[in-house]
Amino acid sequence: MKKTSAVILLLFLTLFSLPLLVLLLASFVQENGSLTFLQYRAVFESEEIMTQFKNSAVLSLATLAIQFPVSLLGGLYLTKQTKYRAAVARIFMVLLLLLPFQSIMVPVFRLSKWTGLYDHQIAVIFLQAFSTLGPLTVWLFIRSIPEEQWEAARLDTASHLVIYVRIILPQLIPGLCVLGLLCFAEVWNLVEQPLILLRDETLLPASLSLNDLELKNTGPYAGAVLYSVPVLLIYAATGVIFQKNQLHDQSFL
Amino acid sequence: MKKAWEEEIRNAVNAGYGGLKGDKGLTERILLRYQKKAPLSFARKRYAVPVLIASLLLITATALALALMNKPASVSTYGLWRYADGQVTYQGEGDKRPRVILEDENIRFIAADDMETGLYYITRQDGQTWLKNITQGGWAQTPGRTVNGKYNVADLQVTHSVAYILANTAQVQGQVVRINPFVTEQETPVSADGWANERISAFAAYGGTLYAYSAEKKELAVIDLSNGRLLCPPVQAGGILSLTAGRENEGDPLVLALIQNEAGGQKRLLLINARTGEMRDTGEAVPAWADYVNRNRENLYLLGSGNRDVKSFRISALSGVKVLHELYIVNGGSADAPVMEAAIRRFRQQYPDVELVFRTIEDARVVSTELMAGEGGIDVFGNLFSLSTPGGMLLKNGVVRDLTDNPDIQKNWEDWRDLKGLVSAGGRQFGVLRVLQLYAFSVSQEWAEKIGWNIPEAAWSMEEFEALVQKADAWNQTHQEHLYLLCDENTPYFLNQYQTAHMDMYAGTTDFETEEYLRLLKLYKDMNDKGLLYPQENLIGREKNYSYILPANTLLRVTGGGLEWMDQAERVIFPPSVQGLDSPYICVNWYLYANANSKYPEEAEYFLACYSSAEAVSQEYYRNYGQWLRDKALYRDEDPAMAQYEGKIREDTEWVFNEAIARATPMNEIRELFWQKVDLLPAYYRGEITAEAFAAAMQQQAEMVLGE
Amino acid sequence: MKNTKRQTWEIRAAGAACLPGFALFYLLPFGMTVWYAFIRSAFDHRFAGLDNFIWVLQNKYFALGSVNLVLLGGIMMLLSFALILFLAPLLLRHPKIAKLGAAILILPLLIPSISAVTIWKRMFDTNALLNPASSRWALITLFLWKYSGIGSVLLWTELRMIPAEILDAAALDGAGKMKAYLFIQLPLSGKSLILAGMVLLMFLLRVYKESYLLFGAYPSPELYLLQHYMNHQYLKMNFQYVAAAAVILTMAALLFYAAAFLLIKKRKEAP
Repeated sequence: MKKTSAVILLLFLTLFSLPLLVLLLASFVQENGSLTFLQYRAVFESEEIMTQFKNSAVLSLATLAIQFPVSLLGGLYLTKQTKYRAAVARIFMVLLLLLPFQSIMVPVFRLSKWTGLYDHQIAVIFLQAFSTLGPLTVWLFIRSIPEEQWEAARLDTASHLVIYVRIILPQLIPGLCVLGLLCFAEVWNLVEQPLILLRDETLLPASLSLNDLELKNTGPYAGAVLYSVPVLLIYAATGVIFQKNQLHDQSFL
Repeated sequence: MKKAWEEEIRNAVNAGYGGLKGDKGLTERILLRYQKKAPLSFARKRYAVPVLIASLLLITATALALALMNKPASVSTYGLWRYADGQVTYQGEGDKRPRVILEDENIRFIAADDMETGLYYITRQDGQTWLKNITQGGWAQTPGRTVNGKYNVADLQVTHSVAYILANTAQVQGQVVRINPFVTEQETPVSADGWANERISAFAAYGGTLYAYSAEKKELAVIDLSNGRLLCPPVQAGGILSLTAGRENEGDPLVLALIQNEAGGQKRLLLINARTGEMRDTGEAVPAWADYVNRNRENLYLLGSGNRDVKSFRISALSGVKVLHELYIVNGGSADAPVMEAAIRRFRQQYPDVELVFRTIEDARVVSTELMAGEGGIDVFGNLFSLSTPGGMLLKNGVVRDLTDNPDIQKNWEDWRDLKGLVSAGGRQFGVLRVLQLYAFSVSQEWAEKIGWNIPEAAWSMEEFEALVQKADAWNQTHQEHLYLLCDENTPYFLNQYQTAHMDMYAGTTDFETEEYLRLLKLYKDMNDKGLLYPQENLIGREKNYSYILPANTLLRVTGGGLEWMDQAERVIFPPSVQGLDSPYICVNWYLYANANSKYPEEAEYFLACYSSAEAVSQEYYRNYGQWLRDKALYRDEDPAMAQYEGKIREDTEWVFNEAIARATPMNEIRELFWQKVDLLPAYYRGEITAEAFAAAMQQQAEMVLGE
Repeated sequence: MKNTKRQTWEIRAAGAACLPGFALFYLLPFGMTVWYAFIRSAFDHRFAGLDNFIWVLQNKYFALGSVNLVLLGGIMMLLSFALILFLAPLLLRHPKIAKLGAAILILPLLIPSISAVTIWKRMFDTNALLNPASSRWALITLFLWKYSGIGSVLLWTELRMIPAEILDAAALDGAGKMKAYLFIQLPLSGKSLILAGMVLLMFLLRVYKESYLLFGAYPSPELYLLQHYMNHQYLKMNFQYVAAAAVILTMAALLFYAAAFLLIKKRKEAP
């Protein structure tokens, strides 16, 4: 039975990985069918693309650096605030999370001009950093922790923050790793926000040229492959953290 | 024993902590503590929280700093050409560093054309001095020409695609000589009454004006090159190393000059009023390495002789212009084109303290956002390359200002042919015309003779075209040599013509499901089945890109473009018309509009009035878009480059084009329908869908676009 | 338990860290969007009352887009959930495969859409007018490939956190693996499922990008979604209709949320 389920799993994973393999293969294939590194060379030699990759990294890391603490604190707020206030906050957060960005694109643009953030990468960073996905996700994770843990820990300290940091968060680390990946992926693939908030082309991220809807600059397959590498690295890093924080040791029982 | 002990601990933990059953983490930690392997972690280390907060603040500060870092310096919109170490480089908008365009060790002087985006240069080749040119894309517009060996070239300037060299001859030192880069005609020294063209030590040519300085005579002269007259009497000036045009202020020509009064002395950047001789120090710090000045539309550059160092300034600021605010022209075409220069000149007479800033925005979402936001950045704009947003719909949706009641704009019509219909919808004017391109048919006279077809001199009907189809098919049936009747575009011309006639985008109505449309579809299928349509996939190279080139064994080709473009064809005739002999012809138009959300609506509308004035339109090369003005004599001399390089426009082409303009109707092109037609047609030709299904699909999609 | 003064301030501080940013960058713009919904257009700020809402609700393409969003979107969500529920326990059962498997499942989310679409166009006939069925499946499979992986990983992560002795206890009580999965593990992982659902819905409402790349701006009526309507109105610069549609969408979501909340509350209160 275990063997069968392993085969089925491998089959599905193979299906999932097929397009990825095709993409990887296409990044080495030239128009005449020969296999070369020319596409990769073109990417590395293109200063424009390298600058865009750098911008993507700056935007993603800076956003995560702000989004994480904001999300953690937001999750705490949604958990510990009075039921009514927290419910109202949650409703608005969920509704605005689901709304397409076109709905607020013009107001966001206007706000960026009023606040002087227009044409600065910080505009995109703040916009994503205060996205509601993080706090809502953390709130959901916290809800899986029994309230009794909070109460038990209150025997030692009256501080919500201390209990949150010392007891609750360590149990959420695996989930937070996935959240981190999700948030990173969201920023990494941003298109509309940098498009309308950044006028200087030297500030634009790689996602714009790689997702060019006008198909003017489809970008090489190599660009798409290289574009995925940082996320794989982050996934690998989070995997290590995940393993370290594995709380269940079957052999212990 | 151990297991029992562990069991006991677990029970104690579970009992003591209520519902913490199964919280193995806590259990584990307690056990580890008991075994002194790890201390209990919670509630003991009070420094953890402050450290955490401090770390978060540090990360946030770092992140903010990263994002707020100074943007890399970039050269302004219209770019800077340089030559150093045998390489010609260009750095344009958004370029972080210069790009190498050309490598040539023998280049002696370079000069950018102030009108087009190309560069001209003097180089030595095969023992001769050559004048050549190159564009940003690295290709040459002309093969180049030699410079008479008697001229020892000391400098080069270019304005309006005409080159001027500062040259020494055996007879005269420091003479400014005019050279046509496109043909090897004799070079001509510039002359102007009241000015001696000799002992010139520094000069500049910009905007059709020559600025010539003689260190020996300490004299600065400004000459209008279009008529060879001094703009004003020469003024006294000394110590000028290099100069260029400043921005005209209140009608006075201004010169920006790099000055060094004594060898090794402090270099300064002065603003000189060429009319009054008044000199003013701009107050800008000039580095010691600066040897000469250069400029593009917006900026002045100080350059060293090695061409590596550069420092830039805004010309308007240096010229002492007090700018009240900026007026943004977006996607309005080249700011250096003569028509735009004329418009700018006229605009500045009325609004001297309004700075015109040109922007290019490629993405329709950005343009839409900025237009709707109304936060500035777009006051006048050109066509959007997006979904169906033709001018009429923009007017209807309130996006653009209604120009019908603007007296300046309406007055311009007195000089124009009756083309108001091209810029109006529902009787209201939505914009001004910027580009007009028509469709005609290129014809092979050889093949017309072969098959015995009389080429129609004027308009002809669809019935006549259908008869031609039969004739061509009959030829193919009886001859070895195969004739293709028509090389069409990606989307069939007649279907586009039908769409133009039957789709009212302003009213939002369309009708593809008619007998007429089905008849046209069946005609195309018939031609395809008979092998009379030239296969698009067979077009390669120049044939593919230049629609005036008839492929081999083809009688007709749909040719769309400007007047000069069409003139490249062997011969052009009117397309046969769907609606009868006097029906309209398709044209593709680009416009300029005034943003309804502009903070400066009067200035925006006035700019459009300037742009559509006879003064500006007459600067447009007649060869581009034909005759828009009533009086053809108003148009300026044909582009010296093109006229002499390509020859005059043929009379028959001119007649067809200008006649078609009179009946021109903007093509109602919806981009999405365009691509869907391209996708559906092969299936229709293969018989996978019927003509009725094709028409129904077009109707459905058009209704979707118009009905949203 | 009532909060102490310190705890109250801590909660306020936590709120102060996230709420102002959320209010400035999301709530305020949404408020402005609501304002746009009640004016004539972005170029004419006169009050329009409910005209925009009436226009949008009466527009047959808004209705078409909404219906398709529910139907096609519903299919995509259901199939995604089915895949998530199918893959997560498999990952749990084979931890060694899961290490690489999770990476494979997450990666599609990060591949630029245009690269994925290029591959999909070779696999499917994406001429929506000629072959709507193939086009529909192209969109559905692309959505499944790109977005269901992260949901699987989320659920898998949650399943790993469930203590093994609970499952042992269930086994002792005679529950098989399927029963334990359906009646113990899934209910305990409810939060992850909600999160996965939220993420999928978020991506569903952004699927315009993939649809545009596959079919162009105007696909066949079967594939015309509400997002098409909103994007097109945006490009036509009818922001008032985009805003009205957004408000209508929000009201609908609110109603759905309220209905779900009441249903859950009723079930909890039921004896």
